[in-house]
Amino acid sequence: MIEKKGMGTWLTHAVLILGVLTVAFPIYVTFVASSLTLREVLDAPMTLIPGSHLVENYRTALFSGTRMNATPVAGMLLNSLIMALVIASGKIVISLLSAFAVVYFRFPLRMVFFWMIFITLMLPVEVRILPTFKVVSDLEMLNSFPGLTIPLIASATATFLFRQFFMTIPDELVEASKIDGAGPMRFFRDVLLPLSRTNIAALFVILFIYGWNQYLWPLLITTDHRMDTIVIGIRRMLAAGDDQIEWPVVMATTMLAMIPPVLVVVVMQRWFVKGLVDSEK
Amino acid sequence: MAEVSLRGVKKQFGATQVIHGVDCEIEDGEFVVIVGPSGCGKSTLLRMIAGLEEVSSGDIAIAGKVVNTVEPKDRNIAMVFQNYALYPHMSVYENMAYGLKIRGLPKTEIRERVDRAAGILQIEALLERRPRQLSGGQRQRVAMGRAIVRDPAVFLFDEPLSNLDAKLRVQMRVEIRKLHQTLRTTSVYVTHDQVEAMTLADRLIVMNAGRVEQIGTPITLYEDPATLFVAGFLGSPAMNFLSGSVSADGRSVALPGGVTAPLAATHGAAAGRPVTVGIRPEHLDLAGDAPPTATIKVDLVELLGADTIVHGRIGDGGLLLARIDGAVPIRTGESLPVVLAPNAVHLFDPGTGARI
Repeated sequence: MIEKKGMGTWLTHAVLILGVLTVAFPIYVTFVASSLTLREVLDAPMTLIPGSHLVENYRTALFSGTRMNATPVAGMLLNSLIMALVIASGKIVISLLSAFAVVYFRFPLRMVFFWMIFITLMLPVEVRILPTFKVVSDLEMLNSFPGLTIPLIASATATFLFRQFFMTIPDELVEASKIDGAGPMRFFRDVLLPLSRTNIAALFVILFIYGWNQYLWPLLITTDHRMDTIVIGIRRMLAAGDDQIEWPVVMATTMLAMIPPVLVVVVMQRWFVKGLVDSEK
Repeated sequence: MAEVSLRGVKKQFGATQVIHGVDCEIEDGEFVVIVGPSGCGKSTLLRMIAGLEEVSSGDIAIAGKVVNTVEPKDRNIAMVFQNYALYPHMSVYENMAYGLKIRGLPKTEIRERVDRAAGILQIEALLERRPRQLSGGQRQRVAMGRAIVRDPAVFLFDEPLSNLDAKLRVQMRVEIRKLHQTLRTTSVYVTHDQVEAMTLADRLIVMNAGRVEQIGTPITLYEDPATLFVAGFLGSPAMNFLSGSVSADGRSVALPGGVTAPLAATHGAAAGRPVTVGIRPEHLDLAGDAPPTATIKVDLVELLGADTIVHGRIGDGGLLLARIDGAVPIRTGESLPVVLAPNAVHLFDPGTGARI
């Protein structure tokens, strides 16, 4: 890499710092707001120095929720976590298996199936939401975890990604394992899975955040407060009607909602950086 | 230990026939090399023995048992691949142990077998490493180790040395040969490199365009090639081919530029016919005081130290290579008188390529 000197260094740093500030400032404001009383938040201009009600606000959010929407955030976090984990792992399992089938087995209409999966890329949840809702409601899966997760699990993107990856694995590896006596599932478990682990980690991060951020689908199929996810919860807290919105608690909830995705990114980051550095094939 | 029999083995992919019937008996403990140019079907033949390709017709038998429909793992074979095909996420030890683990051998026996194979190949120090931390030669050893631990009836090698550099290739070639002398396992080895083929083989199978050209010991094939193809394929530099015609009495052959070469035997049947004349470069020698057979017009001289390769011409179309022992000072443009041993002249039918 060529090192820049003098003005160049200053300029690049200035741009980078500006970028970081742009991203970090709103989060900082949220954090500050979550540590103030409602009166302090409503002061104009709002102070940018953290206040002394941090613990109190977070406790309220976690264990009792706002007065109008008396659902504790702890439960919503758990709901969101279950939904995001099931969606992410479900998508990965299903797409690994379907990519395995499409790449390594010769069965009738193989390419037809592949294209069928591929075409669903063009049909995101929003497009097929009414028929999907009808199916889920007919199956009596409203207000349940299966209803929340199963329709979101089928994934063309991940299948396609794994297919492309499997196709880069040399055929000789398959043949060597055949001679070693490994059956198809053994090969899948002992060779394909370990080789795909960095891909799986990267996908898991993306899919976990996808699941965590789901809004439209949970909004449609959950009416029971006990099934609220955190994203839905935040919206309900804002719909306070004539009442004053309890901004400090809402902001605390927002901060809490950010923690799991951030954790997932931070923990998994090591994995896929490692995956990028030592490409072993 | 086992013998391998190929009986009328054919292979077609769709409508294209790639192997047109191969018959061969490989004896127990024999090292057989299948050699031929790219695309001659030699790898396909090996893969059929391994069970990685189906046999379209004919039979393949290992140890007297027809294995056409037997799974690769049940054929009691081990294969070494061109790209090594080591499992990248497993250590060297795990790579070698994997096949045994699947077969359900007890841990202590696996350990024992891997250690023994590692000892034979001198890779004990590498057992904990990953394949990517190894050099090409080391990877090749591991690949062979994986084959050895299985203690198979037949070893199959699919161009195992072609990814190595020239020096390492020579070294590994010697080691494979030594290994075979130690283990005495029936081996089938595929290569396009004729030097590898000549040095390793007990017997050679020369293939061309899906057909077996000739089967025999390397020296038989070298000295007594059955076809023009075998004659041209084996030997480096390659055999010279000149068009000529046999004299009326069948005792000599006329070459371009008015040269007449005597023949060792009388070819009465071929008398007066046009033929392709094959002469190995090393069978041309400086005439010295003897009466020369021909005079070569020298175009180019390659001094290799141990010998000198002379590129020259006789007459108009007759390009000729001569390989002369030692470093001989020959200049480009010179006219070089050479002699030719009569029993070193091979005659081939220019139409069919068959030896006359």
